Amino acid sequence: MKDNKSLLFVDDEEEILEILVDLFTDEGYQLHTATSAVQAKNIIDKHPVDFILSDLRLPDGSGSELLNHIQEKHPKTVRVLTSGYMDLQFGRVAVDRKNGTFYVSKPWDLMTLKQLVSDQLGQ
Amino acid sequence: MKRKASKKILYIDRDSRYRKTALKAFQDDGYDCLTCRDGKNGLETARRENPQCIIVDSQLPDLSGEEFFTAIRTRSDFRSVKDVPLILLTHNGEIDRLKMYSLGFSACLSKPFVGRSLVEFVEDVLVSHQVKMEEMTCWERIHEAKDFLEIMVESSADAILTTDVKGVITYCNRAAEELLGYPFEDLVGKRVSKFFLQGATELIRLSTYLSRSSKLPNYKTVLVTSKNEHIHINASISSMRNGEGRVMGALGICKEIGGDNFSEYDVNKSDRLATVVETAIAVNHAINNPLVPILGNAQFMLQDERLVDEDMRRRLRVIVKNALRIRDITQKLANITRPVTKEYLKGTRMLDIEASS
Repeated sequence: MKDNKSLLFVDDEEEILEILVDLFTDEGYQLHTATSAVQAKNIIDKHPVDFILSDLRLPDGSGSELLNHIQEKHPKTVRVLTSGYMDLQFGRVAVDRKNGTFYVSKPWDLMTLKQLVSDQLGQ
Repeated sequence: MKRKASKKILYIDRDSRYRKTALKAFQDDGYDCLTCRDGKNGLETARRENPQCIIVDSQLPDLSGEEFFTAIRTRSDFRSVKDVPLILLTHNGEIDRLKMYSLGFSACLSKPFVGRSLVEFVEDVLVSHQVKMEEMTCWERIHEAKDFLEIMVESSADAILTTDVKGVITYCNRAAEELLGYPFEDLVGKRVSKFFLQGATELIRLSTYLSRSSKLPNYKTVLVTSKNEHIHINASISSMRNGEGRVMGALGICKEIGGDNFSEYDVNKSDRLATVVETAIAVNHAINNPLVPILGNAQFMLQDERLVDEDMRRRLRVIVKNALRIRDITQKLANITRPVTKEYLKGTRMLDIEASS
């Protein structure tokens, strides 16, 4: 089942992307990474993804604009926004009831992220 | 995980059998290994080749292990290798380990050893050294950022005051003490209206204005000093809001303009306030981002069943615990609306993070 699900991580820091890829490598998902909003949009245009986690601050725009763009084009994609400047406790996930976007504060608890993906993708 | 292929190890030992053992073991495992038989050649190779780890025998023909490492750690021509892990090879435990660690050695390994155990030992040292260096860098960034914020506020030529929602002063800088002629202790905790010539009436008017518009630049008023003198000021006053947008108080940046020269004022003060807020955001971003790989890698290693060494696991738990402490500090710094300061050195004050809220 997991083979059909794909995840996209967007952050301009390679070491942060590396942690995310390591975390989901053996879980059977198709993994994509991007270091900018433009790169992320190119990936999504070719392969719509089931889950996207993006940093709020990207070198060529804001992560929330990217997620809004994805919401318009692919409303079923699960969207998570993350940032070092959020007032959320370690291990907590918040959700915007208006648009369904999830929020996770950096640094994240790996198990919380894994649980969020598995809950939202119905694994 | 074949990243080790790019790692360069320098092994220095007078005993050719050990040199051969080390060379073969490291090369078999994908490392680039260089060997030397004495301290002089070892130092020269270290400077030229910039290895990622240096292993040296305590009984070299020309230098003692201590002399060798003192040169690496202190001489300016070895700057490029001064932070690499240094491992000392000892004979029958003849070395005072405490002294060696205090000199800056990363680890000691007793001879005899087999090639495989040497490689595994070095791999453990490289991992723990990397984590230690990242943790140190992180702490340095926090201290730099905190010092910068404190220096910026305290060295301002303009008076800076904050109040809670009731107008009670919660913080003031040195310029505010000088402007009003009261020490810090006599200002904090007092209602700001006490220092307005128009008293409580003015405070109510200001509060009403700020409840509608969060910024009031170029506000001109008259304050009363400890000597009962009236001073004319130009202030930029702004609401301070928490992460949820709720008003927590007000921030005022004031400059004396002189009673006869009322039209002279500085419009840059509100820009300066914006800089303070922008700095707080940058501090959080700059610290929480590097915490992701620190915490993430430590969590990964703790989840790895192959890591059975309880001492290593304990050290990793210490890293996780302290990384979370750093995160708590940055989060608290970003949300402080009632700063409290304490004496740092004579005549200098610092933000008391514990006492602030």
